[in-house]
Amino acid sequence: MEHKYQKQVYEQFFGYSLKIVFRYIYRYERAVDIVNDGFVNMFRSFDRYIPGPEKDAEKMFMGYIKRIMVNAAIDELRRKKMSPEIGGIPDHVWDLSSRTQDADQMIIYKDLIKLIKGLPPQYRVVFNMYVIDGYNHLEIADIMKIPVGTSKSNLSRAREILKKNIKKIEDIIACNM
Amino acid sequence: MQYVNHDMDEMFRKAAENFQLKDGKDWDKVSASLHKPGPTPSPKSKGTGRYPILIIIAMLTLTSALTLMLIREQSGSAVTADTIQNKYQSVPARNVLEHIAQNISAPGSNISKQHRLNIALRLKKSRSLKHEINSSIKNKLDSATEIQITKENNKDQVQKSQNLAERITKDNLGEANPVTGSFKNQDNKVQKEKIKNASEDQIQSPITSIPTRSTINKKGLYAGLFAGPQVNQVEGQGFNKVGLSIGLMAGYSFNKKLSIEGGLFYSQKHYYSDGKYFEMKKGSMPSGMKVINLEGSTNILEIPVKLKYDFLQKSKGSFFITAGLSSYILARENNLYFASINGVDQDINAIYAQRKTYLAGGLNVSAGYNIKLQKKSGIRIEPYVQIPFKGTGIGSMRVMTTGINFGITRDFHR
Repeated sequence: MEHKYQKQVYEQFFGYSLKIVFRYIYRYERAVDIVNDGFVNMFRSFDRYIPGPEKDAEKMFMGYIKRIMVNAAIDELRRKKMSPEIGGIPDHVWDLSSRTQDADQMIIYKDLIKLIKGLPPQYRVVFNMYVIDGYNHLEIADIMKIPVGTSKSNLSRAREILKKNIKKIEDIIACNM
Repeated sequence: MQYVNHDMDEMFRKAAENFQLKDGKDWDKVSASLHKPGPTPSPKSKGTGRYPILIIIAMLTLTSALTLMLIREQSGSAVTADTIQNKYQSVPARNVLEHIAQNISAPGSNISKQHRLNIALRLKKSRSLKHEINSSIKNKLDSATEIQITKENNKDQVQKSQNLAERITKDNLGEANPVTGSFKNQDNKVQKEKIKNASEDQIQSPITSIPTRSTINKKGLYAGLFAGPQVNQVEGQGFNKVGLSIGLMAGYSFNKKLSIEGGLFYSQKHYYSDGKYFEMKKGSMPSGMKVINLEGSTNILEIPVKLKYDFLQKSKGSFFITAGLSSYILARENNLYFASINGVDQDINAIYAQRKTYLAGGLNVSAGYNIKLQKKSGIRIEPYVQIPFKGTGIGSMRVMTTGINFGITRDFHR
């Protein structure tokens, strides 16, 4: 891929990639580094990418980027031995200004993403991969090098924790009303 | 704002699609990385101690194998039947009786023909006995240690018999007449019987006095230095990181099979647990806190006391089993909790530095193999399991430990 097109691709798909990686990686700054590394690796091995028919080109390319970013995020979590991180997410990383969405809705989305990020890393990865990124348990087990049963049980535990936390938030909101 | 009770997954998918983050683009950085040769270097983790531990294990195994090879080269090949035979033949071939007989049967001596015949018969007997000694030694090639002991004892025996026979000769036969060659008391029948019996005893004793393995002294003190990896789990929930155990051990052997040992070990245990196995004691945690799960490590001083039983003992080594109790002094505990406090889930890290003692806190069982290096030193390989009787730490969790110890031991007994 020529240099000028690389920059265009980077600028166009950076936000999309960062949103994917930020669901896996706790720290914003580390997520940015992983996205940049992901783009470097993708551009270096771009000759391996086989584009599909023109009408599906963008969709297929986004799927290709998603796979690269998810693998990069999982590699980072494996390097850190899936150890949980502490400390909150600073408010300045969020962009709550949106022309298309209600401000309250943006806050809800932010809170829901924070709930996902608050999961233990093993549960967080499985939940993101299965529920949001569309991997099945066989694919998750193959990528994570875990049994299929573990993938299913991690998903189940993640859902339990998220349900509890959503209930608590609803109760808090109901009390405040 | 209303939370609709709909499909939770769909809610999170929508949130993932629509949430926004601040812009963090840095094309210059990416461009610079692209122009560097080779792939982007990925940060390497510092490791958790697993690889250094594996290197230590590999080095210990290699060192012990090399030491064994060296010792075999130096000592093993020299010990052959011929060598032993020659060594025994280097002891003066003429035994005492032969010496006496030659002196007595010197021309011109007044000793009677019967007496000379008796001596000759005894000489023949002693020669056949010596042949029996040599062939029995050939058949009894056991260990270099036993043969060495046997050789030394026989030398002593020969010397003793020589001394004793000389004494008897002097006492009973009296001084030899330098002119006639006869002995003062040579006609004393009782004295002759004494000489005959004493000398035969001395000849016979080398055969019976070859020490067997059971007569070698195995009582006494020994000590060792040990180290090895270990893994821990709480209530069968699976292992976390690999920890390390290192320490000293001392023991006393009552006999060649039974010993008692005590030790002092420092170990680092890593574990993971669901919150349901973590006991929330009053005052130990903030109010309103509920532990969902945790990951932690403890630094522990362990004091095991156990009985050891050796079996299948060969010259190169022996198998053993041990069983006993371990007491613990918990020095430091570091836990990372994923907990809910007043309805908000969060990660909390906590370090506890208060020491706590657990007397007879667990059962300690092991089975292993001793490799004999030299007479008094050896290498021990000992896989073990520690089963807790009670919970330890701030959450009173029952942590089961499995590991393997590698050690160098030294005997201090005679």
